[in-house]
Amino acid sequence: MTAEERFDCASVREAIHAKLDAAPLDTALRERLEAHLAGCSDCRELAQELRRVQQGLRSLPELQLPDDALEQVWSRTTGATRRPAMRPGFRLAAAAVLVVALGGLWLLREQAPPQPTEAELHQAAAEARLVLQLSSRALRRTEQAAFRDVLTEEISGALRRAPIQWPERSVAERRGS
Amino acid sequence: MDNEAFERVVREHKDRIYSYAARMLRGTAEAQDVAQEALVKLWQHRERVEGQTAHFWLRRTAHNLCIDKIRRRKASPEVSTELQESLSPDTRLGPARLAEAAELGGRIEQELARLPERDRAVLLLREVQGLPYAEIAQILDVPLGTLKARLHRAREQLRTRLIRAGVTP
Repeated sequence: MTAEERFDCASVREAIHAKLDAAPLDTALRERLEAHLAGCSDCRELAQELRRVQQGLRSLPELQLPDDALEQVWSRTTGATRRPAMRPGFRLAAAAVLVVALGGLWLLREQAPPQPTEAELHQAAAEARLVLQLSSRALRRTEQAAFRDVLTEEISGALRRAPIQWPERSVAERRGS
Repeated sequence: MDNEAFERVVREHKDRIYSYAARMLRGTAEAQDVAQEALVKLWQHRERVEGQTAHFWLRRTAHNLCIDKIRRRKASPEVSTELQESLSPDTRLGPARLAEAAELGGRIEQELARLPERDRAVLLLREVQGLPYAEIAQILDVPLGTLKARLHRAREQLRTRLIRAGVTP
């Protein structure tokens, strides 16, 4: 039996896979493979189809890990040991929220009648909470840390430093009791 | 590995880990769990994993987590619709090729999901993720010769399944 006869379809199969693996084929083997494929339509079809399967696999799209899953990773790793640096855009956004919240509280204070009623006090508190909720929802989408740092520390700190000064009346008088 | 190196590794490899897990587990919900766990484990072991080998460590960890999940649940031959919906063909192709590629790509995803996980893993690591044989052999903990034979058989199985599904590759 000659070398060519021994190079049957089973042997060609292995050589086809080796070629797909980008394994180096010596010149003699490569020539025998090409000669066999030229004369064997089954093996030629096999080689073409396997090549297309490989190309199809290589073309499969890469999926993107969702942002909230990545946020969980950060919160369980580097985010848990350090305060993340606030991006300039978020500093601006945080400052804007602080100004709006303080401005809203100042306006409420300025517009409040000299003798605020209990209902008016509840209304003012509800509106302030709404402002904070809407702001926190916007920030939470991208920077949970900014929400935590700004709204719970800086605004609370600002309110503590600049408490609302009501007219000098007793709480009982304002409540109408 | 310091914090900065860890963050770099996460950003570079998170999607590859997630993609591998999604196709091994045939769904994206559990794949998110696997990706998160693998990345958190890397953080926990960051003292003894160097930056250059982190990608290998991540893939091996993700693979083992996937195998654990597969063994814990009953195998289902159906591809999760959430996985199929998240796929989109390469839009750089022209319309005709796009349609052809979309059909073939979709079928490849379906038939890939039906292969045994051993064959699915070797095709994903070699053909989709492009890892060298030596690394794949370590990840799967099989000899190199066994790995190559498994890859060759898996290619042919996928081809056969595609033909039976009426899609000539």
